[in-house]
Amino acid sequence: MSTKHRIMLVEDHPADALLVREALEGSPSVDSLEVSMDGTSALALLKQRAARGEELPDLVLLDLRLPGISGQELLAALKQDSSLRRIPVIILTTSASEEDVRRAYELHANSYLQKPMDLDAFTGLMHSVEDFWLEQATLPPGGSH
Amino acid sequence: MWEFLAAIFDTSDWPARWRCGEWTTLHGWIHIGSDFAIFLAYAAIPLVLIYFLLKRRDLPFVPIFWLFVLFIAFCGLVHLVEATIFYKPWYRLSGAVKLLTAVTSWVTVVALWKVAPSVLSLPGLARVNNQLEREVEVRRQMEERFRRVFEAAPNAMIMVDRQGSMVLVNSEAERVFGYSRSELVGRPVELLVPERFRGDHPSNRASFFAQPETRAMGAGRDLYGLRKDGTEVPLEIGLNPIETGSGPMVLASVIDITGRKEAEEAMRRTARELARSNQDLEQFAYVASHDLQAPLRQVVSFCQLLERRYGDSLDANARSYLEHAVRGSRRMQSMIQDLLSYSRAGRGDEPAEELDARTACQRALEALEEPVRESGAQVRIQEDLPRVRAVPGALEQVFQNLLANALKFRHPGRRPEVEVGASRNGSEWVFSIRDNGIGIDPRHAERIFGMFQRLHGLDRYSGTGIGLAMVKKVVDRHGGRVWVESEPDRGSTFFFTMQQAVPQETV
Repeated sequence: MSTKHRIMLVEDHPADALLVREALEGSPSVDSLEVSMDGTSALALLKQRAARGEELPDLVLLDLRLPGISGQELLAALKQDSSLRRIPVIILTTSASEEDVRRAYELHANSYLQKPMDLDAFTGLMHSVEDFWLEQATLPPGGSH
Repeated sequence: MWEFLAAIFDTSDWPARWRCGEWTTLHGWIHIGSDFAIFLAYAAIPLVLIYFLLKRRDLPFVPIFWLFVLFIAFCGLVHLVEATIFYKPWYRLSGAVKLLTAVTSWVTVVALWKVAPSVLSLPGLARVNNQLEREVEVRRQMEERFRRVFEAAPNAMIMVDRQGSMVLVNSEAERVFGYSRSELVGRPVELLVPERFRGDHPSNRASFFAQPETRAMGAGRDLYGLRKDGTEVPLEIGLNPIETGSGPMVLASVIDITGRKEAEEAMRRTARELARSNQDLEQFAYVASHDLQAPLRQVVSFCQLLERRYGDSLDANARSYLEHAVRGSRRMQSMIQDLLSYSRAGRGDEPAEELDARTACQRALEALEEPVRESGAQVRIQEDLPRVRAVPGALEQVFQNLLANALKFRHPGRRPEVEVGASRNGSEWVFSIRDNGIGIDPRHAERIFGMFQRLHGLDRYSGTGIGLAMVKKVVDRHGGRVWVESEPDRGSTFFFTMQQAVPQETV
């Protein structure tokens, strides 16, 4: 049986957000895809939900270049927060910079994925994420479950 | 003894001279008077000589003088005895005195003969004077030369005595400090020391005189002088102890380093600007890797999405337009990526090491395994490729690009053959990568090393044209050169130079 999961995407480009949505459309394991356009509001939202005991996302997809606080800062904040740090955070970015990769893992990112150029490759990557993280991996029990 | 003396003075055997022969009174007294007068003179001369000897202790040939004293005194004695013999016929005494005189005279003659050469070589007074004058002249010239050197020295020169008074200054010192000579000589040197250093100066000077040795003043500290107009001037000062007729002095050699300081400041400024421009470049690279690629990816993805979703309702033309849009975007993406690798290549922020060129070449070849297999190329690497100084990875990158080039531009009619070799040229090695490919028109020999320069259409050879530009950049960064020699249709040889590994003498 397949459980439905919630995914939060932090992404400031509507086009990229749309691509992710297109790729995950109709997936049996995705319950909802929530898009946050900047790091500051994403962090505020998550903290508020954790404080109120509301349901938290099962997976965060995080872009690095964001307006306001950067993806790295948001990642650091999430991993320092005891109520949020167990949520797997997957970096989804255009950057191939070694420095960005190293920094992300130092800040305890759960994986680092580079956005492929090609539509098929992009869709394939999203399906792999879905398959591995939502079907194969055992995720931590959700905060409000 | 007494008997011997008595016998000498015995007069009994002869008559007195007056009674021996017919003497007229006049004749007799001429003898007596003259002998006595001679005796007096001969007695006076030795006394004068002795007086000389006692007064002039620096006289040469003192023993000869004494011999003369003795010899003249004896001569005098002979004449005295001759005079008295008119009354006292002591001929034995006369004989004894004459014998002693004879002996002394001959001793003197022999002694004179012996010293004659050294006496002859004694300088005359005129010669001594001449020599003295010459010495004075030489000394004067030396002083004049010293004065001129001191005056013409490019450094400010200040001679200071133990008490700290300036004794001598040159015109450069006047220029550096803005004082005239008369305002400096005789004044304490602290006049030229800025207020904040003045307190320590006398004790520093004392310690210099306690242990005088040539050294730089204030090692490791920035030194400043105080000019007459109250401004300060940056200086470098060397101290030399000098022993003079008026006691120990210190000669300070002072260099005005205003120009040097300004040059250093300019250099620091340039370095800062360079660092900033490097930082800008890094920033550019980062921007290029993120921000330029994201929109491109969106163009590609949405063109593809459009084609997939609405392809059925589009005609062939519209679909080919979409295809062009995608292909153009892809090409731009690969150019951006090449630009990025180019900007990263040979950045030179890593230190050069001694590397084995053969290992680097082997690794480059391993990375090209697929194109080698595909083309069936035969690649020969010279057994004894040398060790060179290079940044790790950079040499490999150069080999990889050049080998890839040799495989890519192969001749369609023959099996590619590539040869890698090296030969020494002075302190550098010239590496060569020779192929039997399509070759390059010599007109383009320079152009091909430019960024994104391509000689062939994309339909024949793919690629952005960054490879050789990267090679050139890396080789340039290593202080080497890269060039190509080619015959169209026969093949090309690419050359590049690298500094030979310097043997490490001590670690």
